[in-house]
Amino acid sequence: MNWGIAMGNENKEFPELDSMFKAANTHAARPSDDLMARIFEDAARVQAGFPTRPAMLDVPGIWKQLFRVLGGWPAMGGLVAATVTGIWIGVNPPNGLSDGISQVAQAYLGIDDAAYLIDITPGSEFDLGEEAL
Amino acid sequence: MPLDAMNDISDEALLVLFANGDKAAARALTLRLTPRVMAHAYRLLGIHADAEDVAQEAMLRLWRIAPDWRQGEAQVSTWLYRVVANLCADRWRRPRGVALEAIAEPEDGTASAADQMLERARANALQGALDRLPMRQRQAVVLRHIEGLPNPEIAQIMAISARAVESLTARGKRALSADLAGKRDELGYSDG
Repeated sequence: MNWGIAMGNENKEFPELDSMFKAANTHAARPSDDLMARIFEDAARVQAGFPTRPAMLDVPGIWKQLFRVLGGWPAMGGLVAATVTGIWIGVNPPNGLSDGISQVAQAYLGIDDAAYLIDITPGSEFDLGEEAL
Repeated sequence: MPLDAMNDISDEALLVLFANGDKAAARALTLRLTPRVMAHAYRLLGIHADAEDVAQEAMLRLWRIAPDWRQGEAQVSTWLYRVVANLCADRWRRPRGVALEAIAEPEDGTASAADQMLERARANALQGALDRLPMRQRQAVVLRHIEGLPNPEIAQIMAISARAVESLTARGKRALSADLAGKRDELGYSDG
């Protein structure tokens, strides 16, 4: 991007141009009292013709604000996908994950007896039921 | 609501209050926006009476659009600058035969009378040079260097790219420099 190349060279002949701009800003044309009065009158006349239904200031609700803070629809898509995947892994863990959990438990907790671990793989409830009998 | 309490309220919120019938909001918006609209119209037209007509019409359009204003889409001031530009463009298309008017304004007491006269002479000379610029260059230079708006906002007002704004302002400044270079002495710049 070279937008700045032309800048600074355009008023070489008259370097005081910036002070002229400042003077123009200070000595701006001002609206006369008559103009202000006409504008007040216009405002009152137009306002008198408005319908009675009030316009609402558009302030977003808490859920809308949370939605924006989290990153909008792209972030929501990722959040939903991660949630569904987590629930699915919890309900139906892949083979080997239970073994891995047992090994980690033994390493960190010193648990030797696998009975302390809850196995929610399908069919285990029937084994527990038979032992109770 | 008292007028002083409205100083911190945004233009857009005031416009909503106005649409709901709040008379103080009408007054606050008029006092806040009319001087800017008037100054901008004069810079584009160079004729006080025409600038007043444009300012009144621009504010009237603001009052009328208030109930249908789409919040968050554009700043009120940006919208007004665009309306003023369009109204001025309509007037530029008409034949013009009125000479440049000097800006008359009250003394503000912050500078000596001689300094004020010199400053006013500079402002009037610049206005004369602005009047000789092509319409789009004049608009871009005024918005960038006198109103002090950032290029993206000017691009929005003029419905062109930021790069085109850069180009217009650069060409405009070159033309102004060439125009004013011969008047350095009378504008009090001769002694450095």
